[in-house]
Amino acid sequence: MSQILTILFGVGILYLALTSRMRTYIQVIALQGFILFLLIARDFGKLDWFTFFFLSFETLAFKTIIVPAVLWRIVERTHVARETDPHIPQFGSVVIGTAVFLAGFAVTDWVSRIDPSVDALPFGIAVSTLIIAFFIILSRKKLITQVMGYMLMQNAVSLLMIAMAVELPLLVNLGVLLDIFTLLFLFLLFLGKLHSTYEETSREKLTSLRDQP
Amino acid sequence: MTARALNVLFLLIIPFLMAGVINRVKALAGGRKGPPLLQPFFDTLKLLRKGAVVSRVTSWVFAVAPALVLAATATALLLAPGVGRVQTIAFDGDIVLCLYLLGLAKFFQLISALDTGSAFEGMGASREALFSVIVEPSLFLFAGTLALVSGTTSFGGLFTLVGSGAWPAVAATTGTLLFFMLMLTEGCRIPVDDPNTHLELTMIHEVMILDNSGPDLAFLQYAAALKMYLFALLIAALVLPVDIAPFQAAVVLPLVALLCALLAGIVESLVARFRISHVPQFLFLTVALALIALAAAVYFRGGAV
Amino acid sequence: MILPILLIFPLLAAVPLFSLRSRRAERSVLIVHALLTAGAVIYWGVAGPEEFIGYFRADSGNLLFLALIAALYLAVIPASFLYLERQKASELWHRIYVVAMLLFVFSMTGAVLAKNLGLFWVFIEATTLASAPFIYFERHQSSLEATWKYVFICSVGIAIAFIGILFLALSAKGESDLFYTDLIANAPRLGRFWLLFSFPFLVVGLGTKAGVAPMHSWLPDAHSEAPSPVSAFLSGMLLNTAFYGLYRIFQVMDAAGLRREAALFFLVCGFASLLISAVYISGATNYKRLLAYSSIENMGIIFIGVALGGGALFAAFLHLVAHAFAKSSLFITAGNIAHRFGTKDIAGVRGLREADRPTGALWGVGFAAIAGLPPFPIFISEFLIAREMVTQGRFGLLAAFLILVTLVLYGMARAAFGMYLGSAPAGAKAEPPRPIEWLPQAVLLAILCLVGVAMPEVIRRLVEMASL
Repeated sequence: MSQILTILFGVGILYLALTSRMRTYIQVIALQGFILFLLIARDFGKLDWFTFFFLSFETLAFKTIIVPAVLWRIVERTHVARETDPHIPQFGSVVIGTAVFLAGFAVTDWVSRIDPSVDALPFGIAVSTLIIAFFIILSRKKLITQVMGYMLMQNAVSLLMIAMAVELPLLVNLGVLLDIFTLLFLFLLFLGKLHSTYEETSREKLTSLRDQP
Repeated sequence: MTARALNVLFLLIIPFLMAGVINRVKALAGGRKGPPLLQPFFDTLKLLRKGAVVSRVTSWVFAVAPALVLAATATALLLAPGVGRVQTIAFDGDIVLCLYLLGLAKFFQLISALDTGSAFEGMGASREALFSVIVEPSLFLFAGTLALVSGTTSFGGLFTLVGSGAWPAVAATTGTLLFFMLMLTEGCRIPVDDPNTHLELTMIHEVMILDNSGPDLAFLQYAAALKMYLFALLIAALVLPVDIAPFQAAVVLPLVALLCALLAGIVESLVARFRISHVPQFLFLTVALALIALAAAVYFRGGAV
Repeated sequence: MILPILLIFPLLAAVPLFSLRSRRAERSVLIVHALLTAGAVIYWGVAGPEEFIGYFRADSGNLLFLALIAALYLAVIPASFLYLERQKASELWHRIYVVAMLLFVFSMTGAVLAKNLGLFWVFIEATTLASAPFIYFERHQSSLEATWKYVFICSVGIAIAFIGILFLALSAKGESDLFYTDLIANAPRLGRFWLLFSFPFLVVGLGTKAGVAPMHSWLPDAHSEAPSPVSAFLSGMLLNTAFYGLYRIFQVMDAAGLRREAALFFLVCGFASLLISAVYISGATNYKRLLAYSSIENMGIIFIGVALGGGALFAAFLHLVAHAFAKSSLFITAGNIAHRFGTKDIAGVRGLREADRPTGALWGVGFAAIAGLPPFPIFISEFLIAREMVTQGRFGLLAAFLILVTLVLYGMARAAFGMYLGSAPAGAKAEPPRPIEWLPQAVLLAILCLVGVAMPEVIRRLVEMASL
């Protein structure tokens, strides 16, 4: 069951590469958060109760509900329905996304030959997700899309933690601190500062600070 | 023997039921009561009783195409794994024949549309041809992957997802998604095509059969429903357990098919049709899924995983 | 005893400031904190190492970094007061400045004191959060842009560093926890594959914060938009704090017998930084950005020194100290120039020499210090690094190093001389300079000159022990 969930996590990413609609991004992020929660719930017996509640709060309340809801509000307020004019055309994104998945699986194969204790499927999907998140951050122009890329990256990190079963509760709980940044970004965006200062919340406008070589 | 008889029986009923379920779901979602579940069946019977009007500019191709399309599709379905994964006709390499029969049906549908000499139908045919170019590789790639893993080229053994580790789960998930997307595409359902539209410019399948009438139209519509049923069968073969009892399979199989129809209806109610230029991207996703399955077969099948 | 006080004081002191609403109280808290930090450093230097709840430790390894924090803090405070006065900061923003400064120094101190890699990571994350308000402080459109870039790029870097730490934990599974000392002691038994796998992530992640190319793109923006005293702190201390953790991990790699691989990463980052700053510095039109590119260059030199090892290791740490002092003094001076001329454009500043004698002198001397002219220690460190390259027979590297450093020097010199010479616009001469404007930088540069001419034993030992 957890394997199927993990694959759905990955397919969600692939679907993202296909679309340019902000709402799809948000839905995929929320879906991934929920899948992460289910994956953690599966480990109910293995974790101590504090870690368990901590992690389920983080995945269910934070990643699945709060962040997507806030993102949704921002999208509605700023009327950025879709990411127009990305650097790379949509069709290319799908091809790249697929290639990344194949590369991610290849890396996983290599890693799991050396360390068989790694859970290959979530590891592979986490690595692929990570690369695609970078791709989105680098190739998409709107600030809100970049924040979503950051959210994807965090989801990938969470999946990676589950995949590697690192038995360090300290570290697992530390990972949650990454969310503080998300909150900060959302705060900045939600304040509408970036929106009111720039006509459109686009990275393209953020180029007044630049040097020519 | 019973399984084969059931296969044929289901072939005659379930495709109509699936079409009925989709229409009913859409009607309910739209706040209407909707036609009876067997309305497509009654429509077909009605059409079969009527005579056909044939345009004077058409040749023999137009006349034989509907029958050929139906025959090829129905034969393909007899090769597909049915109740308890039993095929009505089985031999080594039947999967290739099945896929090519589908290709043959498509070919005749295309040239019969072109045969009418109408600009609209030619346009529909060209779109259908474009989408097939993407659909066929994904289907062949996925089937090839399954064949690679199972070591057989017969549908019967293909879907016993053997192997350790993550491979069976990957294959089941990606395969189900892939077949569902292909079901929507080949069955001319909404994100790709709109069976209800009355604007020839946006149609694909419906515009291709615009000139057909009477029994010919019934044949083509039945063939389209059969294709949806084919993909439902493939999904069922993927997700149902290998060791399912025959009588259980006989009950569960129609349920899976109707569930697929239900989902298709929900998708149709929720999703808007894609722009034509957007469809190839959607279809490429099926290729991506097949590629992922292939990668999983290559990497996740060994004992190490 | 002083370690817990040093860690708790800024947190506790920040709370009453919100109810007191007094600028004087806020300023005195800052001064007390700076003096406390300096006192703690002297205390540890005399009385030896101190531990706190097993997670923090002040010892000879990090004393150099603590001393740097203390020294720069003392130098930055007068400049900060001056800056707040010139900006006519509202009561709220005055408080934000002071509290952010307390937290910023707290997080840097914590990062340097932390014994555990996970804890270090938390403090590095905190430095980003604590310093973000500074960059937005002037509330222009461009400061908003710089803030966004800074926070976004750094947080992506932080996330990557976290992945690196995960892999490191995997390599240490069952053998060691994430305390540096344990990691180094157990290094031979760590999983080599995961250790090697984690290192690129840690270099990219922490390297983002250390400002080395190719993860440097936040740095010029943040440095040019932040208030000048904060730029001094960012350049002089924040980059070094991130470098400190990275150096500890480098030591782990070294102890695990992976020195060659680790050095390769450092070398690539170092030369990429040199290249980037050489390419961009001549195109910079803003003198604070110019200084920022020079910071990228100097971090690159430090990375190269560490990668070379041997005699270059001492040189790298000497370079670190010299760069911190010289660059801080330059940034504070740049703040004075920006106030006097009302622009950050290189083209808008002419005749520093006659407009404001002390500032002009500081600008010239600071430039000499950062360029590595003889009495200053950067000359020594760059010379030692070049000599190490000769010793190791890496003449290709040497040639590239010298060419790139010269290019950067040329780019800086052109701008600096242009600003220094010429005739000043009338408006720039209006205010006579005050001692508080130039005294801290003069002290920093004087210390630097002293280190270059006759290195005091204390400083030599501090630098040596930090590199061990």
